Amino acid sequence: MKEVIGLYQLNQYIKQVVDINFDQAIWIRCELASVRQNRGHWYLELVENHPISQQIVAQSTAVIWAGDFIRIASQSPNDMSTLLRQGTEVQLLVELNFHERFGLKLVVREIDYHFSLGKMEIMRREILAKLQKQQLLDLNKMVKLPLVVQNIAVISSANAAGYLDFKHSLENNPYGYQFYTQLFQTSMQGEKVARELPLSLLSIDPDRFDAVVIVRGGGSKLDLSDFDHYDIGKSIAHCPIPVITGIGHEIDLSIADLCAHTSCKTPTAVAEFIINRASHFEGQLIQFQNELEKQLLSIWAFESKRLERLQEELTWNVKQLVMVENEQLRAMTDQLRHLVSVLIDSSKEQLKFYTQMLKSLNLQSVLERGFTVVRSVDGLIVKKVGLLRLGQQISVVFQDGLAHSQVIKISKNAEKEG
Amino acid sequence: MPRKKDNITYESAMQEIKSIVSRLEAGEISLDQIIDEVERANFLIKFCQEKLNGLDMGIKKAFMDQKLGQNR
Repeated sequence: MKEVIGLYQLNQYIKQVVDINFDQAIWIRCELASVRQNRGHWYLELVENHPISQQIVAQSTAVIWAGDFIRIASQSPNDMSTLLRQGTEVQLLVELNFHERFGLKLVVREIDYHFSLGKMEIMRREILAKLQKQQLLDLNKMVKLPLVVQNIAVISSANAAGYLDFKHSLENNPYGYQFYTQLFQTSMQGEKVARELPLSLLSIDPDRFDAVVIVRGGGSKLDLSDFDHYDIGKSIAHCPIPVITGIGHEIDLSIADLCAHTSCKTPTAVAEFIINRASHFEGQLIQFQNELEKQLLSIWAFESKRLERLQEELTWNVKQLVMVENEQLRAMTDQLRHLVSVLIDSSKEQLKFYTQMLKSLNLQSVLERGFTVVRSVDGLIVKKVGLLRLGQQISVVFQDGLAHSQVIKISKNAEKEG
Repeated sequence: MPRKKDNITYESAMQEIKSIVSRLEAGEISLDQIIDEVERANFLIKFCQEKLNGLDMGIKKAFMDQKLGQNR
């Protein structure tokens, strides 16, 4: 005869076995298949997958009562809601609670967040290796960051403290620079980040902005894991304009930080980076301006001196030229005067000669007619007998020669001698 | 009688003076022409002297004006 017991009896027996064998809490390792929250209590679906086939080999439900959750959260430096997420591998300290009616339920008393962080770190490194292999880690760094980043696309959440800090720092910069920002509303916490951030990046028109800034307020290392997704890294790498991150973690860099062109520790640091870049550019401009002024002054001084020298040279040259030309004119005037004088003298001499010749020609014809001419010893023609003296030597000029004579007698009013 | 001086330049005047002197030296100018030629030469010499005086004064004035302009 078969033995038949009631279900309640069976469950009672199971409860006893469980109570005896699991009278203390034990640590289990599993994956969170689903996470649900209600009135502060957290309801979890726990699974274990086959290491090779990834098929679910074990499954159970668990609960973190509100009181336990508050206690666990207060002791943890991390935001537990980040940890308690679908897909996270966890180590939980659980009490087995078998109820005759409701079956087995695991009550979570502690969560080993170090274990989860370790798992996340492994996953993070795998993602990094993949991005490195695909040469995506440095891709955005090769995009040229403008000398001045003025038109900024901001990926953040409107109410996020980080976004407000960033905006405030930019708008109240000590130099009075104007920056133009546009917010692309994106969840900056939780599972939505991995989905929304790449979409926001895609929606930004690269022709309108100088850079993309991703900012959020500070958080724990666990919170940073929201930015450790492959899709986030890939979308940042492929962004056609530089991406600057300020995700607010002092020590560690997320995958988003590593793929970005520039990463800063905090949203304020991002604002300072942008402001300092503009200030540096302005400083360079002022320096160039000063240098230009200096060079111009130097050129002006040099050219002024040169011009002065040229002026002096010109003045001196003109004086010399005037002097030389005046000399030349004077010489020509003298020469002219001399030549004219010579010409006139020469003409006078010529005239005199011809006059003499004329005179002499007239005398010859007179002599040929039988007349003679009496000359004194000094050659003068004696025209009157009264000019003669007795014994004076005279010459008598005939047409064919002359006779030298002496006056032996003078008779005035010449009478014919019988 | 001196020809109109509107067309005369300093260089052409100097050339003409030199030409008159050369022709006098070579005996190419007759006595009948000499008075006219000498009058012409004197006129040209005076013209050149005036030009030179004007140049000197002009340069001095130009530099003076330029200096005054700088000091404004």
